[in-house]
Amino acid sequence: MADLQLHSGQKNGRAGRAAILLLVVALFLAPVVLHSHLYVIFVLCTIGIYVIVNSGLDIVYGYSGQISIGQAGFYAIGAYASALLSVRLGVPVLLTMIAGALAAAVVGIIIAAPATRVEHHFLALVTIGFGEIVWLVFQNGGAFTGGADGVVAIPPLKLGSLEFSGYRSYYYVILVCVILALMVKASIIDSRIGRAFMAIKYNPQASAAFGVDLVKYKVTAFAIGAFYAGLGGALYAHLIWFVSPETFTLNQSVLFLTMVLLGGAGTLWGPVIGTVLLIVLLEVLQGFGTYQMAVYGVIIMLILFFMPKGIVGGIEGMFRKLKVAGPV
Amino acid sequence: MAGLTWIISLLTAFPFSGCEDKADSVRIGFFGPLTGPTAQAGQALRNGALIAIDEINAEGGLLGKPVILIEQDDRSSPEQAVKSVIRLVHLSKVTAIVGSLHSGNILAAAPVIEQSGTPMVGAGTSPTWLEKGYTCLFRAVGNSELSVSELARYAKRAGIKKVSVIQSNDEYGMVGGRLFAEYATRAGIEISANESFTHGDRDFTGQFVKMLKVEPDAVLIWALGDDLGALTKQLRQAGYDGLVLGAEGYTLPQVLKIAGKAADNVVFPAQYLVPEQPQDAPDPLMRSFLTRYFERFGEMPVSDNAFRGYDSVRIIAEAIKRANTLDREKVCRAIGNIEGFEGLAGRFTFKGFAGEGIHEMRFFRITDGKYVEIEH
Amino acid sequence: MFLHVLINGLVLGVFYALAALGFSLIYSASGLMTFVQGDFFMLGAFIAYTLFVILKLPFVIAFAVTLGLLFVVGLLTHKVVIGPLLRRGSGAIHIVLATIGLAYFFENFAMLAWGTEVYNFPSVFGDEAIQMAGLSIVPEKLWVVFIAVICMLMLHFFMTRTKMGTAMRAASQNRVAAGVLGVNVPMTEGLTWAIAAMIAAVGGVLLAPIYGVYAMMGVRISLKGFAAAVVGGYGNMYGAMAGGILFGLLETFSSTYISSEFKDITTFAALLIVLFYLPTGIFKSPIIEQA
Repeated sequence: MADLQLHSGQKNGRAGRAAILLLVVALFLAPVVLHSHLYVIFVLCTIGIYVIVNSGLDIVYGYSGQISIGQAGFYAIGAYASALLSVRLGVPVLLTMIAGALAAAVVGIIIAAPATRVEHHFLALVTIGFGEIVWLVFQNGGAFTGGADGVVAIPPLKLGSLEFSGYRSYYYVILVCVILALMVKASIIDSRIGRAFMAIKYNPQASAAFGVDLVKYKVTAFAIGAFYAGLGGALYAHLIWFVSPETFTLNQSVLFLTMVLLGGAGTLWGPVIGTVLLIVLLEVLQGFGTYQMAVYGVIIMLILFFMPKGIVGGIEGMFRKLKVAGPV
Repeated sequence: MAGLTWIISLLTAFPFSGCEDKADSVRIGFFGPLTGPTAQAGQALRNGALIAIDEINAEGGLLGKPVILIEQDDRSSPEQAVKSVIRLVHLSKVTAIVGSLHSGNILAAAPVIEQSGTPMVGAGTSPTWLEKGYTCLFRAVGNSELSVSELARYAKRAGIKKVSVIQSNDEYGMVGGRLFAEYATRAGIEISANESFTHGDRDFTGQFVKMLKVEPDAVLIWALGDDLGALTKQLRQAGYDGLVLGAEGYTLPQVLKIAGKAADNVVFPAQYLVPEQPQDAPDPLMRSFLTRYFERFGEMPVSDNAFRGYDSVRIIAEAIKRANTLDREKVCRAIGNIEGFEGLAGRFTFKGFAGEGIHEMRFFRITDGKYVEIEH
Repeated sequence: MFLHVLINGLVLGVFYALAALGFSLIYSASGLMTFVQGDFFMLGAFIAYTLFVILKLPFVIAFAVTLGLLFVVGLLTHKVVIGPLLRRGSGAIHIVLATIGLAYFFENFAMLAWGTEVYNFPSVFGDEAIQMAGLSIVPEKLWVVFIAVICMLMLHFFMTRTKMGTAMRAASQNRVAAGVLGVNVPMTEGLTWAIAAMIAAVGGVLLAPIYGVYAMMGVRISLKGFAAAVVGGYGNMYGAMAGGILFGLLETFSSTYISSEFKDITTFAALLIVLFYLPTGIFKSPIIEQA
């Protein structure tokens, strides 16, 4: 099973590592080089946030095989927790972000309890139901959650005397989080936990027979995925300085899943590629006016048509074909 | 491989909108829901703006330059709204913005707009986004607080003692419902029931049972146009014949068509009506707008947001003319100084108010399927 | 009042049942999840609107032609999108993504082709309440339940009493065996999608006078229909019908007697609880592993 290759940076050896290093340096220099292009910096910030959320979703779906269409629920919990704690109680933003991610993880553990009992479309429905309930709670939460009005004037992150109230400075915060998130994911994949995930994904019964505690690992996967989403949500809240329930609907969960699937689930770079591709695509499509979403739908189907297993899978397929063809 | 190249070439074939170097034009930005569940309103808003721009260009443009509208779809998402506004302000370098309908999107984009000093004239009716102290945001229509306070006053004068309320559970509905309850209670009217529903839902059994059980003198329906038809029809089917106090969405002919006879005995505040034909419009400004709209788009506006879009652009244009410059801050201040400017919504006076321009509502009652203006 | 709530709950439930049926059929035939059923609802409503309101054809003809057209749309969806993707190696989850893309396309296509507003579909059976046995009843609602039940019965007969229906059931139980016995399995799959689209069209036409016709009308129905299908026992036709009706009743009763604000929370929470104790749904259903 070719998909069982563990896709971490190390796999591609020195060339791969050099490329990654170059990419990281370029990303660090971006705000300097693109100083006047605030729009690009902002888009990069949103890409960073989505990469974190999607990497978490990938751990749940791509690695432990649990389909989740409720990632926006954890995203919401992280965002709201961080927003409410910092706005209502004046807690420093760094702490509220961590609290938000942890709150999401805790809820992830709670929701994993019914989630691990069901599979496939039943699980899909459980996660959809979860997402809907979270959104409805925030929408109907009255003065506590701000209800339909949302929470405004969310303070930016402050570290000591540094205030990250501009997109250029906040970009670095997000970039650091993205790098950490991907590094942690890479090490999880390569660890015993990661291998347990993959075993569960490909053959749950055999794994159980071999003594793998299915429930423990499934719950762990959910918790990690939720933590990533919560962190992404918290970063979002302090980027836009405003949260409202309409951001956290089923559509958002579907968007996350779309990015993961198009990029290639079960890989380190798949969610990254999928995120970049879709966010850039959605901006390019603005030129199509009222036709843009119809074109969007068609493009999704086209991408699937040419790369039925996502882009990373498609590119690897191409490399394999090239390797097989090889120099004569 | 061929597939990938094909997709990449498709994507790069269409340039980023707004990147064109139209140095010699007046650029007005637009962000609103062009797709999605409220596309009806968003597209109407844009269409109205385009008509105003057509008119201005036909008269020689502004400051001798042609005016263009740079559109962004905010997809009803606050995050996308921020992205769109950053693009309009920093990439397309617009002079002013015709704003979105959703107060959530406006609130999200407000910091960017304010920081850049770009004036924005918005179409959303929620009072919240003008209560945060922003100096560059303006409204092209009466806000919902004005509407519901007038409704409460009307109810008081009509001797109504008990009102059952149903509102959509989005920002629009909740704000309207809450403010009405405040004004009504202050006027001595009892809110005998307060129910909500999700926009797009079509089963109101539970809500109506509870609302009608208490035998109210009047029912307040506060929702957007596309829900109103079904709501009114089912309310009558549930056995209620009395007075209905409504939101401005009742101005849409489609609501009358869907509700049919059920829409009789509905009273609602609005700035303007959407007539069946251009000739039916009472005042000349409206008539010429509708005629042009019909010519360009082949139909009458399907949402009163078309009027808001038209007024927004004309307000911006007036300010640019008065300030005689495209400098954002100066245009912003010029809008703030406008007094008594005739628009489709009435006479706009921004001077002395924190962004609100309309301070009066007209009242209409639906009788025998027709709109009749009434005293209030 | 109780009867009033019951009737409205049944009407709602019947719509959810029609939506759920489509999901169940497709899953039982091919093990695939789909997100595009709601859009078949919507297309059915729009096509019927065009035929009945714009072209002023008699209702029965408009109804029949709509069903026929949606049958073709379902067939084409399988032939042009689903089938080719499956042959190229897409997994079940990629098909889900493809149906999501298709849904975006259909919704926006409808908006571009017909327009963004809510169109009025005049009531065919009378939407004014009449007095019957001391109760105030809207005839349209009774007719809706009646027609929907007839359609479900017809589907039942088709599946159990006709050769084609039996072949479809055989293929869904065991593709390989059915193929060996001479059943054209890809064709039965395509037929399933066609019938699912047709059922959705029935729902759309019946729904139109009550909902109004607009591009996004299928979205929430789709979600609740999917939920009903899963709770009823995904892949089990009768489970889907029962699940749908249960869902409709649950929604209207909780909205009346508990709280209308939280009715959606109540229904989804109930759903989670059911799935917690009955992880495969209320009725037995096959779990079809996708390669």
